[in-house]
Amino acid sequence: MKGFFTVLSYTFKENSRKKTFIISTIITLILTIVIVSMPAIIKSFNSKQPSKTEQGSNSAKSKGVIFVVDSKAILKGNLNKLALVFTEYEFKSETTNNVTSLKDKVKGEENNALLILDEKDGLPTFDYLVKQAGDGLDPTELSKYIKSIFVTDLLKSANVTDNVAHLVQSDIPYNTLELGKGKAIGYISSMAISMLLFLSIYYYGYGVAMSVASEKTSRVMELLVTSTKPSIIILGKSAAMGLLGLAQLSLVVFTGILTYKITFPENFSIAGQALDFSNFTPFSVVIIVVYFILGYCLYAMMNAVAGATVSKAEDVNSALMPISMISILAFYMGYFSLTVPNATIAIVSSIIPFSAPFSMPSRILATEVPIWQILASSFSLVLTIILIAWMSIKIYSSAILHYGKRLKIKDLLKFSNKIK
Amino acid sequence: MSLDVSSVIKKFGEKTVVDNLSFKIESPGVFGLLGTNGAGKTTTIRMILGILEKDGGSIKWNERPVTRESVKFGYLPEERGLYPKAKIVDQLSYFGKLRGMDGKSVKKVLDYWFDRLKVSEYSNSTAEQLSKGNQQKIQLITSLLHDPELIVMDEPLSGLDPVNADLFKSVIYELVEKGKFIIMSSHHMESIEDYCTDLVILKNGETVLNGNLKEIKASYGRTNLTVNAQDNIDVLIKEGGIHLISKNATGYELKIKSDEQAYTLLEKIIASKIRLDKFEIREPSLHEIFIEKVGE
Repeated sequence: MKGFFTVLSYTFKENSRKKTFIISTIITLILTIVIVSMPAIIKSFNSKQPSKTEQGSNSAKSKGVIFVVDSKAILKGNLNKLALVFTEYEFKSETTNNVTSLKDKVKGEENNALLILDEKDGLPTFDYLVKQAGDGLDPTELSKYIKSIFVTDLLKSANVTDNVAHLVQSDIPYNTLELGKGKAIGYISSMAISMLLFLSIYYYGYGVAMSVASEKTSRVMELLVTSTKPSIIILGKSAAMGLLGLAQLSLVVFTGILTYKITFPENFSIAGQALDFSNFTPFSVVIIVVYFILGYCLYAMMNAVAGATVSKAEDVNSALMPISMISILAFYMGYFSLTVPNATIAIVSSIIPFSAPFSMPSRILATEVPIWQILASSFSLVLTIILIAWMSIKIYSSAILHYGKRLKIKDLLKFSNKIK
Repeated sequence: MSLDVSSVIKKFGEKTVVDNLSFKIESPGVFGLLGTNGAGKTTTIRMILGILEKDGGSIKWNERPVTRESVKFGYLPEERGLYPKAKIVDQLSYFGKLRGMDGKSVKKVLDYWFDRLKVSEYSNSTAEQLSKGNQQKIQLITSLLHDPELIVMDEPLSGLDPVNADLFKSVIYELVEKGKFIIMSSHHMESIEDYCTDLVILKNGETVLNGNLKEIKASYGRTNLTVNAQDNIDVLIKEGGIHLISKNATGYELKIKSDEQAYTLLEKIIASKIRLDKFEIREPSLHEIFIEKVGE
């Protein structure tokens, strides 16, 4: 046990001191700060150019002009009413003859627009010309208003009382209350967590393979195995790299939260959904950490063996290929089931040990997962880890002293059969 | 204390790399494990250290199987193994701790060895910053810092300049004085001859010679003759029917059947009034025995 902690603390110290680790941590932290403060940056850019909704109140001089060509008299002189409703715009009545010159005016100024009204099958229609879609007054607002004028006229001509006419025109107010987990938000955070888990498990697992391979390359391995048991080396090393990963991740998450608290604007929303972290309950945070640890253990054990099969550090990537394939496949299984967190594929992928780390935590964020599924998933993971670790230790002991050609899976199986 | 290697066999696939190897080391000293490249020396060493499974036979230290737990051993591998980017003092204390030492005693031992091998100034350098000879010294410290009983050195003197080679030799003598068991593999016959008591010579995994160096040499008898003379004595050698091993710039290496053969040659050289620098009848050197046993 003492040996385990010796390996752990040495590996942790040496790796945390490495330039590559320090630089990658700094870059990740800067990226985290930039990404998290992005909404605030976007918002500050927006507030520099007066936004459309705030325009009416603060600037009379930059008022946009909407040229109205109403040859069929659909508005019947209601132009002033239009100006009263949309106070931030000036409405000018024009004639059909001027359309060409008006088009130029619209082209030149982003707040100007040209409204050409027409009638088709007894219904009013209009062409709305702007410099770029999205510029100027929202045409759906215009459409609503023109409709209300049209409907009011219709009702009047049918002798409907003003009172009833008003009721006909009013919208029915409604409220939506979500009792379960917010779907869209659940989806966004699930996706983020799933990606985060995949990237970190993959990245730190890769570190284990590299570390083992470099010990072989530098021939330190021979000294290590004469000093202590191979199982202590593989376990201590994996644990150290895992802790290092956890430390780096916590640093990133902590920086993220801090940046969020400082810079994040109020009432910011993504695709109409206000950001809300209510589904990150203490329980789900624990689950995320536990699944990171379990998933990491599983892949680290396999990676250590892959690292032990090569003689040169350059060969690590090709030795890792089968494991990378498994992990990518597993990740996509988990990732695709995100959209339907309660479908069979989602349940299966959250129980299969290889995909569970990428699938279960995100499902827990997105939906209510029955307790039996969580238990089944973690049991299958723990069992597989024990099995893989047991095999890995056996194979590792033989593989680390093998130099020359890269060992094939066939050779590894031979090793594991031989050593009883 | 004793190390008993008995009928050890190792196969890699169909190929037998070590075939029925047996030897015993019963008293402290340097034991020579010799052989050509690929004779099975490193494989034997790895089996003794228990990092390679053997396919047959037994290796025992004090009647008990050799494991990491039953005997403290030090290993100086042929291919040097240091972390290239880690500080010397850090990696040395790592190895010390892995072998069960505490931080305090590691520090004390390191101070002693840094001083003894004159490498104190490098303790905070990384391994890759050191010269080959200095790396070799650090490697020696790695194998000795936990005060092992059984020390295995694979080519300890390779890559050292004469000054450092002497430093290493003095350390090795010191270890023998302290009663350590040392197994040394080397191609450097003169150095082995300097301190080896017993040895085994391997060829393609088979033992071709095994025993006490003095006894082996004595059993050969005084069969070698070195003659350094000012003039050419080729004709005289031929007349005497003496086998010529080699002729070089300084003189002749000859093989004789008896002392008389040598004396006859000596008389002839004197009679011919050739100036003689050296005339030595001796046992064959380890180098010559080695060449005879494994050469061809």
